[in-house]
Amino acid sequence: MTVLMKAAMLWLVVMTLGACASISNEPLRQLPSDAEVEQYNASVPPDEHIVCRMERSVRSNIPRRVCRYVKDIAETSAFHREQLRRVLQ
Amino acid sequence: MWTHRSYCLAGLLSCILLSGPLSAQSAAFPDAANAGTWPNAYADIRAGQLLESATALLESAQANAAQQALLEALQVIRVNHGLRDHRQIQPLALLIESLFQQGRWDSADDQIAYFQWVNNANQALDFPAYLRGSQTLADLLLEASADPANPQAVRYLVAARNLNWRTITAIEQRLGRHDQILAPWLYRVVLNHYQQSALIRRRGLTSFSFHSDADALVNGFRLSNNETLEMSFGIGEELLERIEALFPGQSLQQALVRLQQADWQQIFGRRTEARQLYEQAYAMLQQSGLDQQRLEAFFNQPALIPATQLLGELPDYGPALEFHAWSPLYPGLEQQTALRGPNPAMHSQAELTLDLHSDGSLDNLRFENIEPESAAVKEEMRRQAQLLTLRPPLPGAAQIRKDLRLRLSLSGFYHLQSSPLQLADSANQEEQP
Repeated sequence: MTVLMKAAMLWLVVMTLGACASISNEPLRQLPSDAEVEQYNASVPPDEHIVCRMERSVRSNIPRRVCRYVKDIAETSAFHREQLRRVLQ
Repeated sequence: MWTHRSYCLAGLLSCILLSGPLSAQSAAFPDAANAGTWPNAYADIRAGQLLESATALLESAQANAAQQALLEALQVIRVNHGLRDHRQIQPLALLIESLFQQGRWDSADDQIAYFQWVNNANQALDFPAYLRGSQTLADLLLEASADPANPQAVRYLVAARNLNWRTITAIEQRLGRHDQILAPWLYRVVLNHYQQSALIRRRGLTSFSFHSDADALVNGFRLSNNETLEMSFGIGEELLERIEALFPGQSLQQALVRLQQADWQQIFGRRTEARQLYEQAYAMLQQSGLDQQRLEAFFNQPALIPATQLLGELPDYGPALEFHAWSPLYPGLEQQTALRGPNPAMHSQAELTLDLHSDGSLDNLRFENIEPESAAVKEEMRRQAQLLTLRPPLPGAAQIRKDLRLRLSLSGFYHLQSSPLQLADSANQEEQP
């Protein structure tokens, strides 16, 4: 019985670690630091600026650093506003 | 037969014939005969003379006359040396200065853009001159950002920081990422973030977003105060670590940067981390072979932080703290630039005593004398003094240092005489989102 319990526990641990490993299978991206972002932004027009900040995604409570172009943020929010306006009409 | 002699005679004859009408013309217009002695409006030497007179005019607060002389000097340089010549840098800096004095911010923006164009053109030809030009312009932008009459003070601070970054990028492209020449430039960005944090802490400033009247985003993005402060702290910390890495094997220089890293933590209220770094800096300075007595004396002297420059050697502080306030827009910050000389008519100073606690906090401010005696000046002095950050005493030293003497001076705080409330109002105008 105890052997069975131990085997079950071991399986649980292996599966849990495996689940963690599957997350780390995503390609590793080295995001720029705030200083690097600021240095880059100083040399490009405002449209091409990058904004990085910590964000919590829907499926996790762990904040992750996300970087986006200001242009993309503006376009996405304009798109969402338009969609909302259509739905509410 | 035409011989050499006949050719020569024919030549002489034609010379006489041609000069005849000219001589007649000279007689008819006597001024034309003296054309060689006319003053040349574009003689190269005039540029220096105009520059000299413009400097004198600026010192005597005749900014408009100085501006005219400088525009003329620039024209002389362009005529003699071309549109991109680096000799324009000095008169351009003075011209921008004269426009600041007149409050002509739009015209100053045009000249700043031209300054950058000339300086960038110079980058490939004379890199040290390019660096000097960048430093001059960054100082000018900072000076503009500290002017209480400037309606876009924050924009100039951001412009100064961006210029410092672009210069760093230029150095990296030319000399690589590990050249020690980067160190003072990286420290300038650290100070820019300290200045920015002083603005953020002021009530009323909620973001660094700048929006135009149209729908378009002009510059920046919106973050909460805490997020922005956190970002400024993080960038300063990262850059100071990078500066330390620029001096491998130079124990004294690394120890001094470690000391400034500790100061950075102390400024942002991270006292435990600051304490650890101070202890590390102390040990590193000891190992670098500094005299123990001098080291003890240094750490027991009160000092205002952050230092306005990257430390190259262990500084000697005087018996009294000296603080020259920079601007009412940046309370608690020391004068960063000496470009604009203080106007003696607007100068006020005070001597006061205070107590310093082991955590670096100050209290028990007592004015000993103040000049001129004015409630507004006294209030501003108190506000400035309360925002100062001092390096805390080392463990083992007295936990409270009583009766520290502080000499505090303000220059150019001209609004104080009439209405001190205008300061806060003008400072907060554009930052409201």
